[in-house]
Amino acid sequence: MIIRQEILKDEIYSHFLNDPSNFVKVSNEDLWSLEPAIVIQIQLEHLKKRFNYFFPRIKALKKLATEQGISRIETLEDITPLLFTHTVYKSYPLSLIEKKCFHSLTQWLDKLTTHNLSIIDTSNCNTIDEWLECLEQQSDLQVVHSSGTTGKLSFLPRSESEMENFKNAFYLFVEVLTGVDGHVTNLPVFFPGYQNGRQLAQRVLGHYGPLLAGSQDEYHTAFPGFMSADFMSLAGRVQAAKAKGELGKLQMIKAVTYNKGELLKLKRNRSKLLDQFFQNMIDNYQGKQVFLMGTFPTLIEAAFEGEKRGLNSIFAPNSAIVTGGGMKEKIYSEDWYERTCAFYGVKAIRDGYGMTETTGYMPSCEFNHYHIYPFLIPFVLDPQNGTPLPRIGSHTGRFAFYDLLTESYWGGFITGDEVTLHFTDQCNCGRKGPWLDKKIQRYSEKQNGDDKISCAGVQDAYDNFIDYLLESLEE
Amino acid sequence: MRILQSIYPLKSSDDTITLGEPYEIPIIARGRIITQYSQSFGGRYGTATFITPDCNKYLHSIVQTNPSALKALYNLSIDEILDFLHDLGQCLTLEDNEYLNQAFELGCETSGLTAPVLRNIYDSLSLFLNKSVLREMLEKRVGIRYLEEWVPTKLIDGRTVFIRAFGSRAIHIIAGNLPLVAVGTIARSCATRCDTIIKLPSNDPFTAIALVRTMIDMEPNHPITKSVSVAYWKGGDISFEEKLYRPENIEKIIAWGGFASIKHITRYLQPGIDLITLDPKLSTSIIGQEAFSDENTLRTVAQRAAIDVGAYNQEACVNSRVIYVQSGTNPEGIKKLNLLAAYLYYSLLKLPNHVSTPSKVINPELNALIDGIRLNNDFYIIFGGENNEGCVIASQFDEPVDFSVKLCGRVVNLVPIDDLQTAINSVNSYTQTVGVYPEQLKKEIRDDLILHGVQRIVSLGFAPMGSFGTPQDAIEPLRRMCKWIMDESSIPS
Repeated sequence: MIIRQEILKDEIYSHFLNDPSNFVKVSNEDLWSLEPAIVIQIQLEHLKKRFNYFFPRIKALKKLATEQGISRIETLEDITPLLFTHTVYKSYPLSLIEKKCFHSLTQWLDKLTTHNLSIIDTSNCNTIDEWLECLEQQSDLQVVHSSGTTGKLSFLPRSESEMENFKNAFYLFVEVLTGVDGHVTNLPVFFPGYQNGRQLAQRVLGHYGPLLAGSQDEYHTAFPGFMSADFMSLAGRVQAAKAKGELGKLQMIKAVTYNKGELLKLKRNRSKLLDQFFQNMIDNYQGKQVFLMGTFPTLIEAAFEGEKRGLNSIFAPNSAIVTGGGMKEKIYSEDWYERTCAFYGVKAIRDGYGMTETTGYMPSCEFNHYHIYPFLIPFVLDPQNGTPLPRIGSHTGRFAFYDLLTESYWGGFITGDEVTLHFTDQCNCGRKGPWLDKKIQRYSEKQNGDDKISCAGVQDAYDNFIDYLLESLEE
Repeated sequence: MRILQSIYPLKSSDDTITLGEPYEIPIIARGRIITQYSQSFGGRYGTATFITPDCNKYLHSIVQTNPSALKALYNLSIDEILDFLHDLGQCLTLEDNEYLNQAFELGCETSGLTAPVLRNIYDSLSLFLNKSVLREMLEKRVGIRYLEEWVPTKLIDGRTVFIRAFGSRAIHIIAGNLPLVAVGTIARSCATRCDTIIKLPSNDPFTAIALVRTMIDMEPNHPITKSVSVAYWKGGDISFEEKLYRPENIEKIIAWGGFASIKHITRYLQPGIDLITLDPKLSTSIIGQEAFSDENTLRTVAQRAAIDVGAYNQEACVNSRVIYVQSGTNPEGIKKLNLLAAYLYYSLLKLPNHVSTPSKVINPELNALIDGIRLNNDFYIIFGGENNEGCVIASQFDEPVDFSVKLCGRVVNLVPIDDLQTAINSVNSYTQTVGVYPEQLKKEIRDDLILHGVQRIVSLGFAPMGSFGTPQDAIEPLRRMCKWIMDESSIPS
């Protein structure tokens, strides 16, 4: 389809047609007032280009498209057979890690990125952390890993080239939730996690926390140092094995190089460090405008703890409190939301929907709907047969999307989530474009109960794992 | 759209019999049919719902509160009991038995099995209640003499001890993956004069009802009819279960259940209650290098393996999910393995409809995992799976896929090995059956497999051939269900 020139006389549309990364270089106001019908045409043009660009460069895509007999894209729906299931990025055999076959793991990843990884020397790698470090040193890759289903991490081969887009998308998201524009305002940043790491939240905050804060000194995390991917993987496996009564079968301890003293120190320090983190907020930032990002359970539990100490309204009302990742099935008193807002001193705490595979997050509006930025082309697939549902009205089904901001990996994904997507009914908040209902559920949870550590549960799993290691070492 | 169909196989339309009204699942309490329906439940897989009376209201009818009432069972000889069960079996034909028909219809909705496979099982039910089969079961597993009389045993100290096997007051928490579990439970429990309470599973809520209602139609006041209760309640209903699982009501719990369900039941254990678990199991096969001796042999081996994988649509614990093949792991060996994988795939497709069909159970998670590994042939090559017909995943190195415990719907993983020890090391106490080819290899590795936890070893292709007259999961359930009582007679000197 040729886009009619008159529609594009408005400069901003041709701007987007030139380069999809321009989507994250304009204001939220601009983005949410775009005409959906024109956005779809722009998306289709970019989708065609993305496919033509990636087809010869990403081996896994080439294999899939060839097997499907697809050589060109004519409509948005044409892309759906080529979206990667969320399992593709963890389709490596777990034993490659156990046996330290990092060369094979690199070869596996090589098929999922435009970068040439055949030249990478992994001979000195013994752990996942070392391998990821090695990839970063010898290529532009900035791999993001998931929090891990049953301990098997997915590795998404993001790279340096996507970081700028991610930052801009992240700032747009923060602005919707908080009204703060990170490009112009520096805020002290608080994150009750580790300082660095390669899991999504750690990557985002590790990267953009100091930028948003204006300096390393104003980027405050609860724990110093680095959240290890190896540790997270093992923690997930322990948690999964516990749920199935197979703990005795695990022989993973050998793989861990931590000694008992270090573990004890980590455990002993944990609550102390968390205390210090909140104490610092209270002592030095009371009444100030800050940026605080954490999972819902972390934010709520800290607020309740603070209440007990007689504290409330600790920050300025224009502070940015950002969260996501769900509740991890934790149940709090009915008034948790009001109490949490009152403790931090803000009118509202809003969250976003996103995943390892999306650039940025989808912000929730005042009506608790997640709005989808135009650089993501959303699809709802029939959960039974995978066919895309019509892009009109509202549909419930499996969420899939194409992310136009990827530069080095294929942007098409089929998620494991059931969503209700509104394609054409406009949200009462006035934002144009598609949006999702608040209720989002994993199909695997619907089917077989929850063996996934959701983002909100990562810290729990991590802590349990430290306990488990200590018990094992004491035997 | 081919790939998407393979991710989410389409449900074939003839698998589902849609009936708008909810199914009625009565409580059957010792010959009495209770139909005061007040609670509604959803079946597994399909859209079927069923309604039941509130078990809380009928607890005292469900349990036997008067142990002396069980004397009536001892006024019957084993021969008379087996006659009754045999006659019951003769009434279990889909043509004439409306209850069984209802069980079949509901099963088509709630079971993981497809209609042709399910029909074949219902057609064979009478075999499991055949008098000779039951007699063999009792004789070989318990010893009929012990059920009939006090058997004197002279001890070395000069005393004579009289031993007799009494039935216990037993509750059976049964599995519903195959209707045979309901039939086998009635056969084992009633034949040993147990007082029998059956807790129905949500994926087969009607087979046991059909059997007991048939008993009532035959002889409503027969002591066996009077010693059986059947009910559905949602497993985990603590308020009801706390009242039920007490030593004054029951002596044995025979539980077929997963980890969570067994863990749950343990909360009710106390002195006086014995728990017998028949856990869910996974099964495997081991194929020796002899399979590759010639083309014909390889094809036969593939056909035999297909039966172990595909029978009962891979819904049973005896079904093979991972097959270790001593093809070798060098390029030559992998080539051989992939050839076997292709043969196995075609053999699966050729299984007759009453044995195995394409799956009706849609498992998007498994299919997503399979599609995840499809994009890279370095580690796994997949034969088939474009629709819901099942597939063979051929590992290209000596390890199964990471999701091997999730394999179902006729999906099997072939794993090439150099050394049989790799296969032996892979089994554990979760492994029930191992099918082996050739026979000679079975003898060689048998003991080692058992030491690693395996409970049943069969010739490749014969895993689905089961019997209730054998040990199960490395225990003797029939002996465990009995109470072994001593009468010690000593003469004072």
